[in-house]
Order: sequence, then structure tokens, then C-alpha cells
Amino acid sequence: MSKKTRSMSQAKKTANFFSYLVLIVLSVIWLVPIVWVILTSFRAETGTYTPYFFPKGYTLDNYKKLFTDTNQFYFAKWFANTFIVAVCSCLISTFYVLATSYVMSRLRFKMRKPLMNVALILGMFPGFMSMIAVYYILKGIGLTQSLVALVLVYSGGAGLGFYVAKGFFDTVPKAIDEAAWIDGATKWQVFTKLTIPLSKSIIVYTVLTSFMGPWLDYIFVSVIMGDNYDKYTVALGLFKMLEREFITQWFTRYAAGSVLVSIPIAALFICMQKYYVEGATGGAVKG
Amino acid sequence: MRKGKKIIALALVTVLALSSLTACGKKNKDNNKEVTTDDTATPDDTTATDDAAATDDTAAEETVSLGDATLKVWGPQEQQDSIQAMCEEFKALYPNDNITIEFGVVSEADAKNEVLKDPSVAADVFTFASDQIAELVQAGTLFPIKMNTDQIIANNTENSIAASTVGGELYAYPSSSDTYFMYYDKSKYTEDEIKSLDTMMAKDLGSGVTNFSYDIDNGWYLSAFFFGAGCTLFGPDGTDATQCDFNNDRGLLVGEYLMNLAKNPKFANHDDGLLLAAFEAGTLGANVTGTWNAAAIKESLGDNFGTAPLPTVTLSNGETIQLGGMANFKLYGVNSQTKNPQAAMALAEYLTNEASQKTRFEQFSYGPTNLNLANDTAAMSSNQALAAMTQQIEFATLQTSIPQSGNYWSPAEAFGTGLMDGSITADNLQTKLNDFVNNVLATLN
Amino acid sequence: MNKNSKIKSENVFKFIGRAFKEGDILTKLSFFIMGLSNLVRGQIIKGLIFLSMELGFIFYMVMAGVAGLSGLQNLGTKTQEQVVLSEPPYMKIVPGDNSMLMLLYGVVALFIIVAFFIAWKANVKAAFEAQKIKEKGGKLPSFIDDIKAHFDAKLHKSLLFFPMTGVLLFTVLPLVFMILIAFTNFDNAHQPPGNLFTWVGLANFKTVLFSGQTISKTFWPVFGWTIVWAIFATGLNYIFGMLLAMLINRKGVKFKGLWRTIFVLSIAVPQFVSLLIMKNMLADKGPINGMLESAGLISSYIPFLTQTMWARVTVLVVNLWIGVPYTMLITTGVLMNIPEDIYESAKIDGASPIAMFVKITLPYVLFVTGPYLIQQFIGNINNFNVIFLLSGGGPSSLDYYQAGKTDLLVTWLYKLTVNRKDYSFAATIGILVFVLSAVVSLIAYRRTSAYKSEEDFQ
Repeated sequence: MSKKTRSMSQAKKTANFFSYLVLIVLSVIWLVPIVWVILTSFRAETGTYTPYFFPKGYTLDNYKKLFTDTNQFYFAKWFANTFIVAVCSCLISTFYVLATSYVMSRLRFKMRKPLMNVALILGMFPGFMSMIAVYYILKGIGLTQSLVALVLVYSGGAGLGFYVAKGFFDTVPKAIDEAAWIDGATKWQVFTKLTIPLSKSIIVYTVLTSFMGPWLDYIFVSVIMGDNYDKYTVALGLFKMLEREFITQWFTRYAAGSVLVSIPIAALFICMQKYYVEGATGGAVKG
Repeated sequence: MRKGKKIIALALVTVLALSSLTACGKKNKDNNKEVTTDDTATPDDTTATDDAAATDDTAAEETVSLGDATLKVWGPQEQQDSIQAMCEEFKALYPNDNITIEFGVVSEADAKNEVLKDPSVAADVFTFASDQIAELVQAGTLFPIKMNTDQIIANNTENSIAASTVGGELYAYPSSSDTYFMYYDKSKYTEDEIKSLDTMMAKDLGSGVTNFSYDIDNGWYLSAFFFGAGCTLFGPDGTDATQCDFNNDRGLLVGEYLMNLAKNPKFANHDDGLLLAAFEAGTLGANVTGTWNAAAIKESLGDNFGTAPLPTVTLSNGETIQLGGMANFKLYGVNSQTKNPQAAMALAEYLTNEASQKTRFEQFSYGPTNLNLANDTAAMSSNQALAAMTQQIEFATLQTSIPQSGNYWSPAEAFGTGLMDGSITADNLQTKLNDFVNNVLATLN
Repeated sequence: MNKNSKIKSENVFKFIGRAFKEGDILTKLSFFIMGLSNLVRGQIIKGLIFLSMELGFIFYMVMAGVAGLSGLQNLGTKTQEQVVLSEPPYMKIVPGDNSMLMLLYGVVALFIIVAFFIAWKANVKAAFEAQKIKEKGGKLPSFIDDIKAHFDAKLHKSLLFFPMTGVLLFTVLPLVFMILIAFTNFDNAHQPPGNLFTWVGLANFKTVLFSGQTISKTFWPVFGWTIVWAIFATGLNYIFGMLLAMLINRKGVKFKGLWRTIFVLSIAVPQFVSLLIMKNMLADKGPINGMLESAGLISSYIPFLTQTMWARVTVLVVNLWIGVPYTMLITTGVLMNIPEDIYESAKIDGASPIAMFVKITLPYVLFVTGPYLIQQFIGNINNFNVIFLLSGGGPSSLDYYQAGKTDLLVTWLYKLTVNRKDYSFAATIGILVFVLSAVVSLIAYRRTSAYKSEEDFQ
């Protein structure tokens, strides 16, 4: 490598210089908003935005108040709620997605094609229009205002998102399955013992996307939880902090809360980046 | 007990079919007819009576037994403790009855959405902002108030009763009043200067200082200018969905004034977000907002904290007008689907009585609607922000609540945006005002 | 290909007809008493399951189903009434019909009937099969055998059961409900429980599309902007994402992982955080304008989100911030897969870098990521978050009904439901958005498959 560098022509050097320049400029642009949230979360002055970038004073109070000032917002509780819902719904969603995509990719039966087409069509309707109906269905089952209801809503439609995972399974050679069948393995055994262990990246992808869902939704949760303040999730809580009555006092704490929510998601995402790419492209691309 | 009531309940029948289309929700009161309901407890002897007869005898509450009841109350999160305390006191008034009260968190602003989403599980007693009342009544979710009506009307300010009344019928209990008023920096303006916006704008406060800021692209605030000039939204009493005269001669004068104001470099279009920083940095002379910012602004300004009603402005025809505004009220309503209407009404009345309003005034700076409290100048002036608000509310117009009013906000915001970005000019002002009005009055079908 | 790919092509109704003709008395009776054939022939549990399904269905139909179905006809007739009393509280409210719930119960009843028909057909099939096996003198599979079969030959049924139930309950059923609402007059003036609403046929579609009224005067411009937005948002993200990936992939650039991670951060931060933050940063008096102003670059603020043209550009640019890293991640791998020798020979032929990009890189990447691109396009038509959180649809306009200049059809329909409770119009617009997405993807998928056969890289 170093030999090559030395023998590089002047043109290449300038090209590299410009590459780095562009990358650095872009990186700054990409990082500015993130840095700003973090700075805001430590900002001592209250109020929403300021006409300057760097705060005039720094403090840890915003984080402390988030957990101690529970008169108005139960941040810690909502954080725990979200975590529980995220874990449960991501387990269920992952099972749903893997099961559906495996069936669609590997098994052949009469309704396969029609079901796949229906799934494609269903994905094109704007979802939140139906939230009133979802509410009454949950009420019919007697589940409104509970975390279970949230888990069901977040994982209920997961079966539709099988296209990516199906693409992945399509790339796994079928010969492996067939050999196992000849050896007398049942299809269930093939699915659990062979296919699932081979699908690490798609599992990680599915887990990741479905784990993130509950942290981001603020529409369904408000419809389902209604007046039950204890069962809110973080996203809705953070949203409430931006309401007219609270925003001036709570904006910096909102930033602190956002940082806390973003950290686990971002960390998870960065570690799993490689799998994410593979998953998102259904195995067509290795990250 | 309850069964017995049911029997009496059905012993006489007047049908008031809620008219679904007339936007103002006027009811056909003369349409009295007998109906047989599918209730099994219906006795056969039914006599029709006039509903007016039902309202007049107002027995003292204490003597009335409410029976066993389970009630749910909705209020905003910050008031939960205080509401619970009030409910405990309420229960103590009826030692012989077994009353259970549950609580849920729904702010005044969210009440309409929550109630309409599923009235059958909504609270028996809930608090909501007065601009939601017409839609709630139209959707049939509010219980008309027939108990102690005269007393409630006598106890509260005229405006607040108007805000609780739809089609001549009282539907809610007034609990507090709300409007915006002016906050200013005493080191920048004297008490005389703040009486006229033109004087304020003319004063040189140094470079980089905004003399006056206003959330001009927000219909709630924008209305202050139009109402001040005598324009009306949805007719004189705010109930005619086909009327809005913001584009008449007076409206044009207001439009001109606003256009010049927006162009003035010493004016800024601040929303709540920027106020505090600007006040704290000393770069803002005055601003208009509500009581919810009082504590924060006081902290920013310290000793220079000043409040006042909105100023006057001089229009281009030389006429000086006092800026008006929209008056809002927080109300308590009873769910039409409540199983215990009598207990629910008693509770709602208790939660809005003089003592409860006083508590809310002291704890949350909510302006009272109770006449005894509102007229208690000594108490009122102890709270600077509320003092200014009580003065300003005299100039304010009741915020209309007819469903058509949902159409007002978006064009008002657009008009404000147009003023700020300069797309509204002297040449097209009349057209833009016409567009504004057309949009407000637009119907879908 | 394998033993499972044998697909029976017999029509459901033909099969039922044949089963009735060829079936013995037990099979025929099973048409009316579900599970009878299985019960008598010794498959007790199976038979009982079918029987209990039938009993459950009959119970449901008697208790609620029939009422639910008949409610669909005109969605209620009885309005809520007020009855004056002589005693406190002097008024009684007699509940009327709730059109919304009647519609929902009707839809639920339809679903249950369809589900029952499927179970009934399975019952006929099981009855017929049991008869056939007995006739041939075979041994009927026990319940345990049936369960085992569901983990093997019938695995697709077991694996799909829960996901399908979830989808039916939380996606399909609500969707049918929503679609039906588009054909009613469930709007602001017809809200339950105080009012009834009823069927109005295609009136809403007419109003939205052709009436020339406020709402159709809003629909077409918003529709236009939705298309423009989707094209630019998808196209720009794609091009810039690919360029960024190429830049990072350049031979001379070191720390590739670090660069990628920096850009990926914008995906990792939840959108409702990053977009709301952007909104604040880009405010008229926000830090960006503040910094530009104090640096002397501008004399007065830039109306990033408050003036139509600026706002439209801003949402597109901010969308780049969110979208470019996705494309970068996905194209990175594709780019590395392009055989190096294609470039080498192009270079020898004297092709310019731009020509190489247009002639080699772009077609190759497009080929591999074609479906991704279509998905992105559909996703952008429905890109609720970016618009709703960043500009809220604003700046609002005097020309529109309840919409602003950056509102997409989805954000507009959200406003119609939440702010105005005009459910019927929102549902109508929802259906139109669906039609738009369906048409686009139909055309696009056609083109990509044609493309595939023309030029094959593999």
C-alpha cells in the first residue's frame, strides 16, 4: 500500500485531497444536527432554540430533572414501558417474519402466489387511517390501554414485511433442504435446525427494525393508551414535552431524553450495520 | 334506587332529536312527541312535560342523596393532585353515599379527540377548552345541564356562560378564563408608552433590539387586530357559519396596518420558543402571549417584568382602535353516556365552584370565571399576569366553537405567513383577504 | 420440483360439488353437521373441533352476527335522544345507533362468515378424505398424526397461522373498514354517537376529484407536489447516495469504516428526534440563520420552512440527510461487485469518468437495486414522517383546504382525520394514494423485468 502511495501521480494526490475535503465537509454537515441535540441536552439556558450554536452554560440538570421531576412526565417509567414493548414485539415480529418468508420462499402450496400479491397490495395503503378501527378491535378483545395491546399492534402486521427476508432465503441453496428431507427430517426440523442458523444476518435485520418500531411510533400509542398516562411510551412522552404549555421549560430536557433514547438504538445500529445491509437487500449485497 | 329512577325517568318523555346538520346545533324544542323506548322498565303511563318546568326547582345539594356511583374524572397531568384533593372533599359532602372516583390524564386541549374517539369509555366528568364545545354537542357527547342551572349562570361571568351555552342550552360548567395579553420589559417602556403600539414601535431601543414581537402567523393571535377593528368571524355572535367580514373596509385597514407592521424591521414574528431567550438577552421590548409563559418570562426579566392589556393601534384613516383577541374558557362537561348523571353533575359543579376555582387560581394561575373571584380586585392584582389578562378579556371576543371554526386556523396562518414573507402587498391585499374569507367559509360539498 | 410443488388446480366449488356427489351419507351429513364424518369414523378430536366451530359460529350469528350484517344495510336509523325528566338530573339520554360501530361490527361479521366458510370447506374435505381412506381400507390418521403433519407437509399452514391472524386482525380488517368509510358521509357533521352516517356511493370521490370545490382545488396541487416530491426525493437520494458510496470506495480513501459510520448515524437517530431538531435549527430565528447572520453572510433570515419554494427545497435537502446513507450502504456492496476489468477496458477505449459512470456503473447498480428503487418511490409517496415532523406541511396556503404547500397526500389526510374528523374524505384520499402507488409499481415492475431480459449482467 505504502509503495503505491509513493508512486502515485500528482493528479491522484489532488484527487485524494478533494475526496477527503468533500468527505470532511459532508461529515460535518451530517454531524451538526446530532452534535446540536447533544449540546442542547447539556444547555443551561431554557427555552427552545437559540440563535447561537454553542450554549452559554452547561449543566447536567436536564438529565437529572428528566428522572426526578416526575410531576409532569414519567420519563423513567415510559422508558421501561417502551423497552418491554420493544423486546416483546421484536420477538414476535421476528418469528412472524421468518415464518412467513420461509414459507413463501421454500414451501409450495396453492395460495402462495395470491398471498404474496395480496401482501404487496396491502403494503401500499397508508396505515394510520385505520387506527380508529384498530382501537375498536383491541377494545373488542378487551385489551385497550395495556402494553400487550401495543405489542400486538406493533407485531400484528409484521407478517407483511416478509419480502426482504424472502429474498434472503431465496439465495440459500435449496439443495441443503432437499438433502435433509431425503434424510428424513421434517420440514419443521429443516426450518429450525438448518435455515434459521444460516440466516443470522436476516434475523439481526428483522430484530433491529422491529425493535426500533416502538421507540419511534407516537400515533398508535396515543390512540391506544388514551387517558392512561402510566402506559405511555417514550416517543409519545417526548412529543408531549413539545406542547405549548411545556416546550419552553422542557425543550432542553426533551433533548436529553432524545439523546437517551437514541443511544441504545444508535449503538445497536452501528454494531449491526453489516447485517443490516445484507438484510436490507435480501442477501443480494454483502456488507 | 337506580331502577326506581329509571322508572320515573321514563314516566315522561320529550324527544329532542339532536339536529345533525344545522351547524349551530339548534334544537327543535317544540318537536315534543311521545316515544316508547326499548327499555324493559318502561311503564305505560307517560306524561309529557315542558323541559322548562324541570329546571326551576334547585334543591340544595346537601340534602340530595346521590346514591352509589362510580365516576371517572379527566384532567391535565399537572392538576391531578389538586383534582384528587377536590374529589376527596366532594365525597366527604355525601357521607351516606358510596362514591368511587377514578382519574385519568387528558389535557383540556386533547379532550375533544379523546371523547370523540370512544365516548363510551370517556370520563363521566372531563375538562375541555371552550372552542371544542360545539363539536362535542353536535356529536351528542355532552349532557345538557338542568341541575342548578340558574345558580351556575348567576355565579359566573357572562362571557363564560356564553361559552358554555350552545343553542340556548347550557352544556358545561365554566372553570377558568384565558386569553393573551402583553408582557414587556419595564426598562424599555414606560407605563404610558405601552398604551399605544405606534408609540412603542416609534421608540428607538437601540440596534439589534426588537421593539415588539407577535405570533402573527397564528390565527388565535392574528384575530386580535381584526376583532379590534370590529370585524366579526361567523357573525356577531360567532354562530353563523356563512359569515366572516375580515375582507370588508375595516378588514382592509387592518390588513394594511399588519402589512406595515410586518415590514417594520423592529417587529418580529416570534413564537413562544424565542421569547425567553430574547427577553433574557434584552433584545426584546414586548410580546404577546398567555399566562402559561408568565413564570418563565418573570424569571427572564426579573424586576423589569411588566404586564399589560394589548395596546391600541392607529389605522391609516386616523382611527385608534383597542386590540381585541380571542377569549377562551376551560369548561367542565358531563359525558352524555354517563351512568350516573346526577352524581356526575354534582361533581362537575363542585369542581368548578368558587373554592375550586380559587385553588386553581392560586396553584396554576388559572383566571377565574366565578364572579366573586373575578371581581375581587385585591386578589387578582396579586398576580400580575392574571391582572393583565382579566383586563384584556374585557376587550376580547369569545372564541367561536362552531364546527366551521376548524376552517379558520389554516387560512389565518397562511395569511400571517403571507404578511411575513412579503407575498401580500398593497396591490393584492384585497384579493388575499377575499381568499382568506373564502377559505374560512369554504364547505366541502 | 419437489413433492410439495404439486398444486391441485381444482376449483373450490367444483371440489365441493364432487364431494357432495361422491360422498356417502356421513359425508353428505357433514355438510350440515360439521365433523360428523370424522366423529363417526373415529377421528374424535378432529370431529369435535369441527363441531364446536359450527356451534360457535351459530352462537355468534344468533347473538351478534345477524344484527351486525343487517346493520350494514343503512348503518343505523335511531338517533340519540334526550328525554326530559321531572326529577334530578331532569334529563335522560337515550342512546341511539352508532353508525361507526355498526359498520365495524358488520365488517367483523363478514370476516367471521368468510372464516367459517374456510373452516366448513376444510370440514367437507376432511369428511371426504376420511371416507376415501376407509373405502380403500386404510387406517385413518390419529389426532397426533395430524399434528405431526402440521409440522411437516402442512408446515405452511402452521407457520402462517399466527402471522396471518395478526395481519387479518390488525391490517386487513381495519383496511376494509377504512375503504368502506370512503363510501359513507362520515365527516365532521356526522359524528357518532350523536349523529348517524350512511352510504353515499361514489359521492366523495366525485367531490375530491371533480367538484371544483375547495377540496378538489386542494387535491390536485397536493397530488402534483406529491409526485414531484417522490421523484426528486427518490432520484436525488439515489444519485447522491451512490456518489457518496463511490467516493468512500475510492482506492485512495482510508478509514472507510469510519466514514460510513459517520453517515450511518443519521439513520440510527430516531426520526422524530432528528427531524424535530432540524425543524428548530432551521427556524427563522434558529441557530443556522443566527450563525449565517452573525457571519455576515445574510442580512435577514432565510425562510427555510416558511416560504413555499424554500420550504420545498429544504424538505428535499433534509430528506437527503436521512436518505443518502441508506443508498450509500446498499450501493456500497453492489459497487464492489462490479468486475474491475469492465472499467479497465473502458479506460483503454478512452472513456471519460462521466461516461463510465453513465454507461457502466449506473446501469449495473440500477439493475441490482431496481426493486429497492421502486420501494423507495412508493415509500416517498407515503413519506409521512419527513413532512409531518419537519415542516408540518407548512407554509400553509390560502389556496388550499386544511393543507400547506409541502403537504403530501398522506399528511393531508392525517390532518383531515385528526383536525377536522373528515373521515370519509380522508379515506377517499387514502384510496387514491393507494391507486397512485399501485399504478406506479405496476409500471415500474413491468419495466424492470423487461430490463432484466434485455441486459443480463449475471
